[in-house]
Amino acid sequence: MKAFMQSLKNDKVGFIGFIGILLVVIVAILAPVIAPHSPSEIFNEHILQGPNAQFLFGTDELGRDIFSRVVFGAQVSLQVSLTAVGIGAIGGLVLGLISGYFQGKIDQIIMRVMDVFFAFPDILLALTIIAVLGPSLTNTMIAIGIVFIPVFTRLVRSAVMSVKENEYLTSAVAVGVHPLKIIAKHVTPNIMAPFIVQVTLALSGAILTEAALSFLGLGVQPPDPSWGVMLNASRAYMEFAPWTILFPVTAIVMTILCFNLLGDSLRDLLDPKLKS
Amino acid sequence: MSNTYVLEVNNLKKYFPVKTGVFKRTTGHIKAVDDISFKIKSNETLALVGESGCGKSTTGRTILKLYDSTAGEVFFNGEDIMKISKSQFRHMRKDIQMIFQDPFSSLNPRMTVKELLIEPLATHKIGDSAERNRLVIEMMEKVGLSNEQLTSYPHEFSGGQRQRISIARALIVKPKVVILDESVSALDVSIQSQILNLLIKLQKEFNLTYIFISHDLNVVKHVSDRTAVMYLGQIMEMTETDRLYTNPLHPYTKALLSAIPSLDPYEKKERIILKGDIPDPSNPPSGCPFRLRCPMAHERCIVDKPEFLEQEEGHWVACHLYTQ
Amino acid sequence: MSSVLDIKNLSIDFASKKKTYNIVKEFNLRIDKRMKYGIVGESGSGKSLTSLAIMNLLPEVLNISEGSITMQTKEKIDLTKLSPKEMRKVRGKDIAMIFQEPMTALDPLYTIEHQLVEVLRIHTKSSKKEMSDLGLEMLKKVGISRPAETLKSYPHQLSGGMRQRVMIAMALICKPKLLIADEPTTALDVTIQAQILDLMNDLSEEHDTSILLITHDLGVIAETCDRVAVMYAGQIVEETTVKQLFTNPSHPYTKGLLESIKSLGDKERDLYSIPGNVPTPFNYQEMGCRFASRCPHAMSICKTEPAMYQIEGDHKSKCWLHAEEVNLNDEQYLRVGSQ
Repeated sequence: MKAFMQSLKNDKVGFIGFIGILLVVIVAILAPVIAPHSPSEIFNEHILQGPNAQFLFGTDELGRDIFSRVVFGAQVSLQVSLTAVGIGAIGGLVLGLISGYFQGKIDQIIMRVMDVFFAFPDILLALTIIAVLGPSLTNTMIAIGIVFIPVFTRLVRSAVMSVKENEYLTSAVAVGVHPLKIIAKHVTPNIMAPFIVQVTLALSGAILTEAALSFLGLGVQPPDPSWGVMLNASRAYMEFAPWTILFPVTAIVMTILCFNLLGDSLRDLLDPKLKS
Repeated sequence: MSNTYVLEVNNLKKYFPVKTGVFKRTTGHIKAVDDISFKIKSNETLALVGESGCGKSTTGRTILKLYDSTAGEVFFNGEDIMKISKSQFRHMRKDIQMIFQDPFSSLNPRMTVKELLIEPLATHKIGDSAERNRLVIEMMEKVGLSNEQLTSYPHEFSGGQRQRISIARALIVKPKVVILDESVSALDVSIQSQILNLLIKLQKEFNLTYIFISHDLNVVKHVSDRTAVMYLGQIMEMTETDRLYTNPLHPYTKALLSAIPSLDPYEKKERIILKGDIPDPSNPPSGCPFRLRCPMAHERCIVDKPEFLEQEEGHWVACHLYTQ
Repeated sequence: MSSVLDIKNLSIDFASKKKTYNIVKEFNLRIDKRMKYGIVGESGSGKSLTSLAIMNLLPEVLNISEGSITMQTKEKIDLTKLSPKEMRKVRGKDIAMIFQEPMTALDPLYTIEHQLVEVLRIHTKSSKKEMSDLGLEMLKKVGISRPAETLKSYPHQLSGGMRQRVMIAMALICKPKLLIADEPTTALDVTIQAQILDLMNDLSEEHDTSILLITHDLGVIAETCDRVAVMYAGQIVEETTVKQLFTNPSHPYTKGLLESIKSLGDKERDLYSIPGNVPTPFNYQEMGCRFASRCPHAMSICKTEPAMYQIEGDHKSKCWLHAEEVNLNDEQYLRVGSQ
């Protein structure tokens, strides 16, 4: 771990990404301390004010402090993306391991089902699931999680199949190790590199999908301060009150960028072939 | 009858289906192992030699049940292991171990040497933790590695040292039979002889029976008691190694032996250069599998497949030249 | 006789961010017209790097730090000083190369004809018909039984041996002065290896092509070459005619290699083996003689690097045992033995 941090420090781009994400996490955790106001507190006399000393990022159409809402929005965005990716990653890992290791009929069935999921655009699939479950924060997380399952399944399956080419798996079979133990001890650790990279990239995707769903009014429900909800609300005012949209958009873009930077550099760092 | 022989292979076949088209219909078979039989005595080394694609590795892996056999019997300890289910056979794997060719891909890169050696013991529930540690240390010494290396990972070792780890991993559970699949082929000459010496030493020490799969005729000559020459999934000739090298009967064996490069630049040896390539195993020739490249082929070879017969005592050959 | 290729004092370095490591050192080699020259060595000995250096194909982290590679084309040129564009004119036309892996050295998307003729298209101005005819002729020469059909087929339709024949045809189609063959038969079976070596021998005589054969297999050297250089840990340790090498090997490493192969036949005793492992480039610098740690004759003076000493005629060995001023009674020549 120490060596890993050291090599991450040497990689400037990845390090910037890492610091950026660390910042978002700190902001999310310390939101009640950092934010000067409650995200839902309404200042009637300060509707749609531009950035000033009292309201750093200005106020929205109901007179709420945008800075506080962006800060609390980080909480929601992280919560949604972590949970959703958790569902997608674990679901995909299990299905992908089964599919890639055992192959044959079970693999055919799993992959054909995944193909059906793949045939829908991400957002449409998420919309359909939410339409069935009804819009709420929890259901948004579940929907995004399900959308990610096929991506992870396919990635894990192909990683498993390339690990299977290695003779050490045959060796483990020849020694007499139980198949489940082979999967746990020999397969899983050796597919972690691409898996972790996919997790970071999926986190950024989840934030984006959450924002899109909330923007469409189907994700996080007002008055919860998600960045997507803020975009949705500011649609009508962005021409004469651009700060209402500028700050949540910046937050989304920067967070996603940081996740992608980190993901890209992890891809290089975790590749054992590139280790000296 | 299986008292005198450790392992007895009868009419073993392994066909791989060839699937084509969108619906993966089976349109043919690659007869990787096609009806072979042999017996191995205790402490004996039987070599399977042949060129790539002749089925020698598939034979080893089918005996180990890494592939499902298509037909045939393999008697081990008086039991036909082809009839046992895979999960039952898992407990018998202790007795038949395998050492692989590639020392770089046959060890899990994320396990330390110690973990690699403990795993087979834990799998077969041998000893408690103190006993396991003792066995590991003993085995490390036997294969010529030091105890300080126990916490290292495979990538910290050279090819020869890795092969020593593989040997330790296979032998730590005290097997009876070891299948060596091209186990020294990937090593440099100066390292190869170290490992061969080690294998021979350990065979005596642990009373091991070896199936030695190799394409290198020089190495086979050194380590094996008997040799079976394979071509297109069949055994063409089988006898004591010395007899095979001094008095080969099958034309293929003769050609194979004459193709070994000589180390003497003054000696220009009479070489039988075979025409053409090894035929596609999914579409083998009629009659004798070797007839398309055989300098002695005659009409009968096209129609009749020669039987594998004992020509002299203990010298088996499948060729029409010897069946009058 | 005039030399076709003359490598003088070649050194190849590996540059990491922190430090520069020397990989190949003081490499000298001279190939005359029609000569078949062999370089033999184990993996990591640097034998393949020298061939890549000749072709100017070294990977980016490696660079030539010293020395010259002089090639006799129309005039004498130093290959290390050529621009990429000038080098492209030499590759394929004056020097051709065949690789170990016949499975991946051909592009699966193009027909054999396309790839065979490509070399001609780059280096000559022949018409399409002429090039196609020449391609057909070359395939006949390399012993392909149905050349017209093969010309139209794709690489995956051919066996390993056939592909290696196609590679040889491609390499020789422009009648190069030098053919570099890097482990040309290692991926092939013995019966096919015998075919390919035979073919290379015949064709080099017919086309007046010199051959640089790189291999780990002493048997292949004995069968094919006239002269040979034995490489160990990035240096040539012995250089002589093939006949000398096999009848009168001088360097302890060569002796050890030959002994371990020859003892293979004798079941009564242990195989002769060289103890220890091949050193890695990261500790070459502080080694003196790079073989000393595995050498049965190691002496205290071996901590200093020996020069290349002449034994007799043009038989050279890089070992203190062959230094003229050797006085085995002197203290620094005391044997310390290996390990």
